[in-house]
Amino acid sequence: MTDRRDDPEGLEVFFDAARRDRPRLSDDALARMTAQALDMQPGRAAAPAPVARRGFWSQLIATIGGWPALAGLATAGVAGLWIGAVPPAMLQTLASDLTGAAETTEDDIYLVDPIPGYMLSLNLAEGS
Amino acid sequence: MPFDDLDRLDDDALLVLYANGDPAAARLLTARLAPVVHAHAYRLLGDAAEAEDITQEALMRLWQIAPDWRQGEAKVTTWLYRVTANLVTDRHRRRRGGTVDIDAIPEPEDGQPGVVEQMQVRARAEALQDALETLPDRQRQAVVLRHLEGLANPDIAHVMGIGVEAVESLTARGKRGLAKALSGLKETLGYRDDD
Repeated sequence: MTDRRDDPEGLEVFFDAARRDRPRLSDDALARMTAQALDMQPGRAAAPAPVARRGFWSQLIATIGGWPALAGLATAGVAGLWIGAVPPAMLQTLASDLTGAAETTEDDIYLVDPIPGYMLSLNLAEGS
Repeated sequence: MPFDDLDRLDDDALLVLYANGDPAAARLLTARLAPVVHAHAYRLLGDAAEAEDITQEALMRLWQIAPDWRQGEAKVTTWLYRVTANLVTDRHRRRRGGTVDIDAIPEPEDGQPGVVEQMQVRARAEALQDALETLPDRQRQAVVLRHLEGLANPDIAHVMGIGVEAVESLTARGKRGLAKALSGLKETLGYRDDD
């Protein structure tokens, strides 16, 4: 029973009934609202498409530095081959000066090793 | 975080988790807040279907502001009461003189113990809802927040954007209006039995 001094209008019985008889939200509506909450949640945008796996050559090119780097490498390769095949006269003179290579075929004979060191050690091992 | 652990958190903390992308927080907050907003909207409007629309709209606004929510500044429910009241006011402007949609309220199941008591409680709740409908919007809002949602006067003042004295005045006038509207029903609803 409610004290008349606290409830002179006699309304508490109605308020109490309304609090107990709370309007119910349907399960469907609750499910719809939950789906909406999840849809609108930050960080739940569609995941980005997975990056396709790259093959060996594309990985290699990427490691080197891409097509510009590969073009530089090809140019250097061709230049190296050209210099090797048709060496400039200046380069030939320089090379012979530096190495002090023999100028005659006679000298070349002394440079031949008839029994290389590893063959000798192999023979000795078999003979023992 | 497991659901049981989340259940111990208040709405404020859950909203921060929601903004951080925790789906369990989204589910729990909806389960907690949707019935509260729906009940409040129903009491202000007297229409269950419209109350459902308003609940969806109010929650949508909450999810939108979730990333900017500053923890500890305001109660989530207080904010929602305010948004709900604004949405209800918009509806009231569009339609005046609505009635209680009694069909939308689920009927009590037969054979349950205390069915008579349940029916009496429902009849009183419906009578109160009808009486609330006769009050001016602001008086109804103040009475509902004070006596049905159980908010303190300073919180109601915050929700309604007015001073505490104005809240007291609105509540007092609202209750006098309710008493007048319900005076003829006290006998039929068994009110005298409770004295």
